Amino acid sequence: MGAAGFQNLETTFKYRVFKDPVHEFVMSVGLSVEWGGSGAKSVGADPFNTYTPTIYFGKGLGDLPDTLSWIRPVAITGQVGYAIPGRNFTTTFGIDPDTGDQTVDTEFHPRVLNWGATIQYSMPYLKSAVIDLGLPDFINHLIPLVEATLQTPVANTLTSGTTTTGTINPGVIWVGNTFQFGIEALIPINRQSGSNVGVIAQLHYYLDDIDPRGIGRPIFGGPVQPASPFPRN
Amino acid sequence: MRRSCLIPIISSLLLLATDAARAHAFLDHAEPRVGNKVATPPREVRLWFTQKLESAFSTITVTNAGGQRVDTGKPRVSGSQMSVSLRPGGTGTYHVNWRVLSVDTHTTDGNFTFQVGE
Repeated sequence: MGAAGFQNLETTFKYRVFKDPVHEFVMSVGLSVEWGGSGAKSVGADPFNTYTPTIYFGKGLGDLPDTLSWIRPVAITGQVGYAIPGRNFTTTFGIDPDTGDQTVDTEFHPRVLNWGATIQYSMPYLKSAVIDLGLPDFINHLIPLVEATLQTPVANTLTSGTTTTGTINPGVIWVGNTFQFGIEALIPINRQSGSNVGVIAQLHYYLDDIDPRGIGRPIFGGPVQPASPFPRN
Repeated sequence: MRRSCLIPIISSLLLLATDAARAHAFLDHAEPRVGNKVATPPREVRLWFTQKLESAFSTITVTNAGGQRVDTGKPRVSGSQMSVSLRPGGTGTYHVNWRVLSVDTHTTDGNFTFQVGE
């Protein structure tokens, strides 16, 4: 049976702590907050907040020597977060329909290590920094990639267990000037993660390019210079 | 039960995937073409970008195989194009470094090479 509705609203404060443009390396830290009760119970939205401090990194291989120039468009990104639920457990009281006795069901909310990585090959980077092969314009906007998103319960795991779940996601992103479109397969890594292959698609608009002086204007400070002029995670 | 397990997975995927790209003034193509070979030293390098440029803060430098600058200095900017004239610099690998300010107020930079010679 299907379900419809919004998940909880999630906000992330992210700050870049280090960048090295020469070696195409960047590292950021962030704090994500999932605001409990802002989503629909029917799709599993929790009624409590969850706080996830996270470390992000990205490394492009553009600093490789000329003999390895074909690998320069490769980039690797990763993130590791520690999800801390605002509530350690939820106790539900009920009545056993057979005996009429009162029942007490306690679900513990585990602290979870959210970790993941991507490896991607940027055709825009290949064309503009390595070699222009004269390929069709559509091809020159593609970024094939493989993502891994994994979750490992590490504390308060009495009812959740400690099995790592997640998916491996091969896919492709088409990058334009004001938007990008991505599509990926979701391949569960084990039975606990699912039993079928899924698909996810995403359309992402760049508000700072569509309306740089309006809704896309930075809240703090001035315009941001990207570490690299090429699309990267 | 499976449904509630997959929801955080999808949420995480969205978080991971959303920052895959940002678009500013990126190099679309160049003449001579990036990484390609031309028979004789070109008289200019011309770059096409994905957005219009602000001429005051956009630069190109070109060096020849010996590391000597062969560009004549101030580039010409017209819309999303930027070009600079070159002095004769011989054969070998030429390095192009560019830095531009787009009209959306973002700066970007990059570099590439092309070959001169048979």
